[in-house]
Amino acid sequence: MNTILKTTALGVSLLLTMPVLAQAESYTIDPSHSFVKFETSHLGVSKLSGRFNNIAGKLRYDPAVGEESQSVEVSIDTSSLDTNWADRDKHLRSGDFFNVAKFSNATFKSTKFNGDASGGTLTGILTFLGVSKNIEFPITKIGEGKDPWGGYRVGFEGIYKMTRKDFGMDFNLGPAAELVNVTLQIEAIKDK
Amino acid sequence: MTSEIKKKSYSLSTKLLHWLIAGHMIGLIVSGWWIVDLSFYSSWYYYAPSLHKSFGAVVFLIGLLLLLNKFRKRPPTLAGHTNLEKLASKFAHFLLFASVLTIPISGYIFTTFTGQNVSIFNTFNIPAVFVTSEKIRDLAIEFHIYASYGIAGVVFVHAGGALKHHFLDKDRTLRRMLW
Repeated sequence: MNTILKTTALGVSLLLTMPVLAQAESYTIDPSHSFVKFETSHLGVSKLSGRFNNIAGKLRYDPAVGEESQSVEVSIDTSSLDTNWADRDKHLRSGDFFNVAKFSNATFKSTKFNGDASGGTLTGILTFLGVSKNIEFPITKIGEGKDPWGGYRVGFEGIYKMTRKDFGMDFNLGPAAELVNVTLQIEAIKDK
Repeated sequence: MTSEIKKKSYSLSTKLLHWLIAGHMIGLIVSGWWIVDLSFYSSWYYYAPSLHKSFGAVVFLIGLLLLLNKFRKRPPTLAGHTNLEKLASKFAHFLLFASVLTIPISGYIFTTFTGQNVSIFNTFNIPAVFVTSEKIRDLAIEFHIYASYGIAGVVFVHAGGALKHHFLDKDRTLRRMLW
């Protein structure tokens, strides 16, 4: 029942946003040049960072049309997390952290953008560990232009400061590690 | 006379290896069950995984030596065992040997997945030599968990069988492994 409601809601919201989105140029995220990284403190003495190796998504970007023409949808395969230490990755994939057996993906769908061609604030829904939350974070455009192979590319960077336990990830790693900086470096190629 | 005594019990090296491996296997299964629930602030969180790996390498080595002894030394015979008991014990021994060799390998596969060595008692390293896929890694993790709990059951059957022979049948099955 819940799933039907959600699917219907999604369908309706897609229909409502369709006319706006149709005006903007659509892009597909280039996974080979996109990086989703996470970083937190280790005991307050140093930083620990990792990344998700598999991501996918679409974005719409057309600053000439206006703020409402910009949106992004990203899906992150959380089981592809990588901190370059197999034992830690194993623990991170477990139920104590990312619980990848149950939730293999985290998704972000933007609902609003305030800003201009150089960047701004992105608002949207992050679904992670089965919890959907409205979040906002700043993004900046890194650059855009033709690539040497006939395509057109644009790149953005956004940093979201996540409080882990808001999404139910509450394994105690000390007070210094409750906040995780999630950095999205996204490069996308214009659809033909 | 001497040959008759010899036949009554296992060789000294087999006995030593047997009881060593028994202690290691129980320790490794229990520590594995306990390690995954340790809190970040437990001092064992830092030390226990590396000890578990070190003893895992030791159990693999003892397993190899014990297997070598199985072929090298003739086991003592017992007339009282039924064919079913012989078959069951052979099957249990096969599972025990198989697990003691494959469970450490599965641990090695997933702990070296990102290329780190395995440090043995902080004295030497076993290098990471396999480059494997995430599928194989996940399979190795599942195997490590389920084979370990599965073999714990076989250990109970194995020990239960020995105790049954000792207390109910009152034969030398257990004693030939003791003295």
